Amino acid sequence: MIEIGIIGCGAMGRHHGEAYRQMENVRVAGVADLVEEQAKRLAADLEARPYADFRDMLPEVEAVVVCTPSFQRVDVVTECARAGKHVFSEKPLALNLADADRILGAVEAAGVKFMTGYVLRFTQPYSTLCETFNSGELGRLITCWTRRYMPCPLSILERWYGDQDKSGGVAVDFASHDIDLLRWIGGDVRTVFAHVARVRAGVRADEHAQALLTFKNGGMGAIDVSWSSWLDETSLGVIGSQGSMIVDRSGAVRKKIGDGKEEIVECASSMSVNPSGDLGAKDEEGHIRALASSEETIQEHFIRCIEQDLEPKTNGPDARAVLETALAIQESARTGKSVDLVG
Amino acid sequence: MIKLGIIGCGGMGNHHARVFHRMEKTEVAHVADLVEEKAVKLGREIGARPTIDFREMLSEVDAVVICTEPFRRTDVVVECARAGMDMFAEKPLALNLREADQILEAVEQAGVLFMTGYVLRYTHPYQLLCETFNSGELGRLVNCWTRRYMPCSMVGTWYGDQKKSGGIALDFASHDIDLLRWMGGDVKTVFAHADRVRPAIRADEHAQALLAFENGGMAAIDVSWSSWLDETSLGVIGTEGSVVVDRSGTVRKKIGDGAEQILSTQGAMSVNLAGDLGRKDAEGSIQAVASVEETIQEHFVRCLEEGIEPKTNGRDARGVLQTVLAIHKSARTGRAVHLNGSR
Repeated sequence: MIEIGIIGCGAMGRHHGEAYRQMENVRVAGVADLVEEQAKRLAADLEARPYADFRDMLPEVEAVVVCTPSFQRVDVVTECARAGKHVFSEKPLALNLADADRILGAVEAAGVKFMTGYVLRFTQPYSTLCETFNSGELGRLITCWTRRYMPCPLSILERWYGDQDKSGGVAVDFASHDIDLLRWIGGDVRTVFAHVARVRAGVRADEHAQALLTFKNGGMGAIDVSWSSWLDETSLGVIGSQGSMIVDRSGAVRKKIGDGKEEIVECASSMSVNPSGDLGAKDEEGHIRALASSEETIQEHFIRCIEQDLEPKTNGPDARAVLETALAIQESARTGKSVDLVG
Repeated sequence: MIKLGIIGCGGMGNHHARVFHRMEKTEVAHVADLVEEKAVKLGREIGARPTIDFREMLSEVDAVVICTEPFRRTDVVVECARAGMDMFAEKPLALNLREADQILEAVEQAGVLFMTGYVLRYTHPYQLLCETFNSGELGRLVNCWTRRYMPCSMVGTWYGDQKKSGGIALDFASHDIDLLRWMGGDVKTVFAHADRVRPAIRADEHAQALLAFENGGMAAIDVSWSSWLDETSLGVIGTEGSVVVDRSGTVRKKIGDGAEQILSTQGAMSVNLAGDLGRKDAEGSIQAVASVEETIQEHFVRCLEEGIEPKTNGRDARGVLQTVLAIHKSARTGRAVHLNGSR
């Protein structure tokens, strides 16, 4: 039984807490929040102990799930690491590279597991698309792209979310998911060119960002994200030298290899495994037609990494590179010039 | 009855000839091509007189429809202008600004009608989206975008030779640029990537660009010939509302916090080399879809009859060409390109 503590009892804290509560080998021992009332409310729902100071909770747990607002995370994470606790941290890693490096230094020195909340890697159909590309089936990367519009009510943006100093704005907070996915496909980013826009009065953060990326291993990427788009939109695609996959707003996954027929890829269960350890749906001939990640949720993955001493799929170094790219989006938009990533 | 002459009996020439032939107000009296067989074949189909020298028809027709390849068009256009012919010319305007300006000067001096083939302005649902924005209903422009993938083999064609077609940016993305300029106005800066993909093809097959407009707002374009999968989507986000068109042709609209509406589900969402736009039927062939209002051919006829300036004119086509050349330069240099003020 792994005892965990939730630090930060807002929306994400509650989301993760409820997921862990469903798991058999995990117990949410405590929940902590600066606002005692928030902690008490979540504690009651999860049958956990509430804490006003997370430090008081640490002796009771083996691992923590840090879901504070982004600007209140660095000290919490480093202190938990130093106390020898495994850490799951919501994204982004930090709001600047200096803080990011403090975190990475602390977790490395402490030798604890450190995982970040880049949940799209665990979400269908994004994971199927990325894993299909990573299998090599689509050939070399030509381009990959995302478009994600999540219209965000002003009531949410009036809080810390809509303050660029506290959330990082749409590039650091929201597009970081997109950057993580595209890096998963394309590897390290070489150059970034971007535009951003602040749109609604009263919002002191970028609400719209567009970026063109190139990757060190070749290929390009395009990102377009918005909080102020009125309409929602979600699409993702990857074009390789041998085939392509595109995911649209309905979640349908289209795939085409060379001059073959276009197919719709199933992303639901029906998992089979082949000797290489590939997981996917079998076609009529019994071949693995698509690589689909196991049904493991992000919470299950965290626990499995602790139990089996594995490096998490969404780790610190990747999160740092994501942050660097997001900050480059802001810099490029400010200067009007393309930014080369140092790496 | 308006008598027309078709100059250039390739894919687009045949397409326009058939449409004008079916219209009550027009008669295609002559067709010309350097390759006699092409002129004879088209002439036989629609009952027009074939010739290998377009000059022969000029005194016999009221206006000409010029559909030669772009690298064989400038002299034809200039000569027709000097002969006092009203003209419809396929896009792009020219392969470079020097020839573009030759054309515009000849047309202006002769005082003839000059219209370009930027057909998406007449095609549902692109026209609906742009006109909704242009009505002011969506507020100020924040962002507009297109993604159009038309997988096709360019091997052995003039399309697949950048010197003859201008590659995908000039031949294909020029449509996207025209639409986005229709909403956003003159382009201020361009940043782009382009990629040559398939070994036998000596032209850019994939291009992505981020634009900023003089009047504010930004745009994103992503086009491909080598994408395996087709894709078509278009969107515009304003300060007060948005419209998004997806591959199925569905047009979604939302104004502020109002309910999302579906404006239309009839679309022309696939395109083939002949310029047919429409839904694919069961065999994968494109059925041309009639635009909701005036077709591009009807518009040309109306401009001839009423002596009005065409919706798709020479000045806009020059602005499109300028933007394309900036895409080429940006892709080559890796830097953003600032456009000089347009004429």
